[in-house]
Amino acid sequence: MLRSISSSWKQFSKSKLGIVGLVIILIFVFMAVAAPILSPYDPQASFIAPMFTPPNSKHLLGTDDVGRDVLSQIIYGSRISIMVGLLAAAVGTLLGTIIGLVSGYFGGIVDDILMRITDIFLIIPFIPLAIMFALYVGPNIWNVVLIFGFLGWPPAARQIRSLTLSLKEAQFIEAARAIGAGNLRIVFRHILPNTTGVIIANVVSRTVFAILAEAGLAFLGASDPRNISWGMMIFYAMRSGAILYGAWWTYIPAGFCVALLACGFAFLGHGITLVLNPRLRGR
Amino acid sequence: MIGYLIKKLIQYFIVFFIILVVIFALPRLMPGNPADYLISSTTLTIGETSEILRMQLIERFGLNKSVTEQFMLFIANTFSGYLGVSWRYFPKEVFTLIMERLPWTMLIVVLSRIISLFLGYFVGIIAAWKRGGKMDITLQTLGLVSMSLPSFWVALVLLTIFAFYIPIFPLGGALEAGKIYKSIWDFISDALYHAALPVITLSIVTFFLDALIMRNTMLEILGEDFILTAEAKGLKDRTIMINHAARNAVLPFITGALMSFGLLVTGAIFVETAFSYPGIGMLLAESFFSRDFPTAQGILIITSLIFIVSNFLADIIYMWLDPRIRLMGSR
Repeated sequence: MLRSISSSWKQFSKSKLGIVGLVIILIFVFMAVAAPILSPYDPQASFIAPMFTPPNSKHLLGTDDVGRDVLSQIIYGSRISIMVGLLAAAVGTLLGTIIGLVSGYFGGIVDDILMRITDIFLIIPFIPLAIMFALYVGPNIWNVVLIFGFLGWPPAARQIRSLTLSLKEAQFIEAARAIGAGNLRIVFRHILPNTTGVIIANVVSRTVFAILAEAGLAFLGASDPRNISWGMMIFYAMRSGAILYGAWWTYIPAGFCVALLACGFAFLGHGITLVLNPRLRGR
Repeated sequence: MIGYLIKKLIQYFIVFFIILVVIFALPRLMPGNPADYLISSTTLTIGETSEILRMQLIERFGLNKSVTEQFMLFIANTFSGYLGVSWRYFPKEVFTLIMERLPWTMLIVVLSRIISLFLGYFVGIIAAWKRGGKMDITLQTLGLVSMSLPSFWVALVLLTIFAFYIPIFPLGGALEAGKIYKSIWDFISDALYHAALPVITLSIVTFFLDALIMRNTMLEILGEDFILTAEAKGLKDRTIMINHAARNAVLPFITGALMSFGLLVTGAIFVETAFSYPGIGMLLAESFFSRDFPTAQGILIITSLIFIVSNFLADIIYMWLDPRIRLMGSR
């Protein structure tokens, strides 16, 4: 186990993009964890300086429409982005993994039905549905996690299914069956551990979409107003007409952080794919 | 062939039906009577009037009937094109409202699709040709970057630069307010002038991915036997690329493009909101704010239909162009 991790790391470390991605993510995670120490002001405290104060030595990124420190808000905002992004991706991948395992292992009519359902879920327009959902249950950060979890599983399901299909023909599975292992044991003890790589890759790539979706919904105002998030900051900036005041610092840095964090996960995913798919190496 | 299409059609019909079930079920899964919910979320009512309105709403939406009857009514209404009445733009019908806004969304999405696909096609060919080269690596990196860009942020950056600091484009809207057009060309040029930034934004977000799809399709085709044959015949690299590989890549490229069309229509929600561009995306954002439930519902139904139709078109074109699928059913 340890050896396989270290050899995977060796492969991964060859991908420059993967390393860059990992570093970006670690910086943001540090920012999220150490937010109370790092942020110079209380992010919620208004009128600590006049509204739309341009960046200066006291407020490195200026202040917003109610005189809150933008930098402090950005530091705290990393919490929501990372948490919602990872959770949403994890829920989706978990569902997808279960469905993919069942579908691939049992095959036949079960597989047929599950894969038809997967096709259906691929076509449901995610963003409008999430907005509708937010309309009914009220703006809430869990909307993205739930909606993304319930709609975001098809890619994972498809990949895990095809992997399961090939794994179940493998000799060690046959051996396990020969010594009398039951279906549950085979699926969870023998097949599941072999899909770890695909699962990780899936969580990472889905996180990119979840981060963007969360920011997008917050930008439309469909996120919890009690939590500071980057998308929310942009929403408030737009509502207060920040563009017309020339107050670019209230929305450009926040959006840049969304892009950068999403990019970090996209790069990390790229690096992981190289480890998983030896054929892509050396290209 | 017809069999294949019918099978697909049934599948899409089921998708649409499931979306309708979800839309129907959502308000009914919420605690309390939907009528109470509708009333509590409108700002129209105060005190005594709410009881009268409550009865009216119950009557109007048939909430005193059984759930099955309500569902039948909902399905019948939807299929006859009646999506209810907008609360915000009362008494306008949701369907009319959406049809007024849809052309604007279609304008920016179709234009950006054409630009992005056209450029992506050629850049993809070049990247595949010189695979592993500088341009190919750059394209792959930029593909990952553009995938991570929030479209609304790109929109705001462009807006700040090209409408505020260097005011060459308008700050928003689809047409200049109150302008009287002397000719149809006058109108078209004004519309295009306002559509420019939204179209550029959408193109930036999709271009690199389109190019990457083209590149990967090309690489797959380049690994096939007929390319080896062409090489063995001693054909020039250029001829192989353009006449053998690129032509065969058109098919998967176009179907991929069609399938992403629906995705882009929903992606336009953010871009339209950033540019205050009056398409259905902005309408959805507006209806969210004014808690205009019927309109939000209607847009979800219409965007699902657009999704389904573009997927179905992709299926048809794919089948039409690919003899393997075309002949499958006749056997």
